[in-house]
Amino acid sequence: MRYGASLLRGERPQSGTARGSAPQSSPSPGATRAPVIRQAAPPARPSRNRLDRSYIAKDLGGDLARGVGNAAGVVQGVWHAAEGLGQGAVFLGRLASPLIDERISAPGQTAADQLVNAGKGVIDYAKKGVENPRAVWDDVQARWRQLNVDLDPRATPVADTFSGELRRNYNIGRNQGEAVVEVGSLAVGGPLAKTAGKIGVASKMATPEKYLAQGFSPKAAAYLAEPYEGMGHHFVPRRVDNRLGLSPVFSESEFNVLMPSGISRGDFYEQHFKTDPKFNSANLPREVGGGTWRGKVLGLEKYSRPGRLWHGSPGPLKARIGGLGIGAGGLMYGDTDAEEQR
Amino acid sequence: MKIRPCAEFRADFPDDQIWDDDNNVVQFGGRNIAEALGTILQGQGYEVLSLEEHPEHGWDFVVGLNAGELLFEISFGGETWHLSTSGQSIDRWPKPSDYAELLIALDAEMRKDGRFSDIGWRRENWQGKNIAPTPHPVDA
Repeated sequence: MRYGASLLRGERPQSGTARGSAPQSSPSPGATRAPVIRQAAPPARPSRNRLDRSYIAKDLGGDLARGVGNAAGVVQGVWHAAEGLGQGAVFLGRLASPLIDERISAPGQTAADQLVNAGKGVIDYAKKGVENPRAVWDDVQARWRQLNVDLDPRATPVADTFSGELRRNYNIGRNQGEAVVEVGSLAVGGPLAKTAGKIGVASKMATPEKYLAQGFSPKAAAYLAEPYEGMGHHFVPRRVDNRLGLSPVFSESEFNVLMPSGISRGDFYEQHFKTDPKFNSANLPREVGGGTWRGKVLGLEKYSRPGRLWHGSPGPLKARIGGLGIGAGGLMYGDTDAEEQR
Repeated sequence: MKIRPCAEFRADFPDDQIWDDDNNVVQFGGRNIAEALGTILQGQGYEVLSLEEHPEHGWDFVVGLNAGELLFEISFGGETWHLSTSGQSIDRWPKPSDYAELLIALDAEMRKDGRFSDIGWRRENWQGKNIAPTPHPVDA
């Protein structure tokens, strides 16, 4: 997310302006700062325009402008999300083709260089945080203040003029709309949520007792409780990817493969059974007594089509292109569930 | 004409699933069954293309059908094996009559082959609905 990225770069946010309004000027680095002479601002001349003087008009107009801004912000957020997906795919493609990337990129600007630099930025910021926790706290507070200004119409004063108030509310509305998309995206597949999710999953990883209770032998239960390390569930099947000429960079990426981190074999089979109409069972190795894991025997039920599309699509894909990706993936499952719909 | 594109059957074949020392699957089982079905179809004059492993599921291959193509997917379903057939793409969707003819021929040949038994056909490869399979892949 943009806020986090700028924080990691060590940028300090400006305060007092909503995103989208004119930025405050700041002195260039190294410039001699002129002494500040505080002067009382000349009293504003009262406007002759009745709308400028009407609080009611400005309030109603501001609400309307904020609503329009909300819609524009949502569209902008979705556009940025799609743009991010495209950029991500291009970046992954460049990473996967280092020889070509080296020829088309400026020195020090290959995808690999950018990855290393981003990593350095994170480490530098972490070091800075260890050395000076106060600075990190200041950053967080400054970012919070900026968010407040960007998103809360009560955080900045009402504009002097009607048109100024419309502009102020439109910008805030647009920021709110975009934030809704960004926060929604984070909640499902953003880096923070993913990290938190991994920790959550790891702490909730199934124990052998769960599989013992399901009727498996102690050896088989221990096997099912081990971490799953297979290839995961491909939302768009690999054969379809091949047919469409999609790169393995996409096919095997987190956008297409559902493989929750820290999940046990048994829990992965459960999830796979529910989300994939064609996955029903898995063999267990002879070493643990052989036999078969079967979803039907455990009383599991398949998700309905919308459930399969939602639960079977990887988080980052959901987060980035939402319904579009789900719709595209849905086509890949064909219409073999005619009886389900009855 | 009602086509049932999915079959459920028992198969008397050696277990060909390969495991590594950590009990992770190196190669999924069912390759020998997919090859046997491919051989049956080739014997009936159909073109069989590209056998591929489908991780966590089993094996699949494509069958040429005049101007169309069908995808055959073989997966293990516990005590029985599952065959799921479907059109590969809109531009190569087979004619229903060709599709029905192929399934009828396959069913007949599987019943003649002693390695396959308890063959039943369904509209879908889904065990959750408890809909009993029928012995015929096509109803007139």
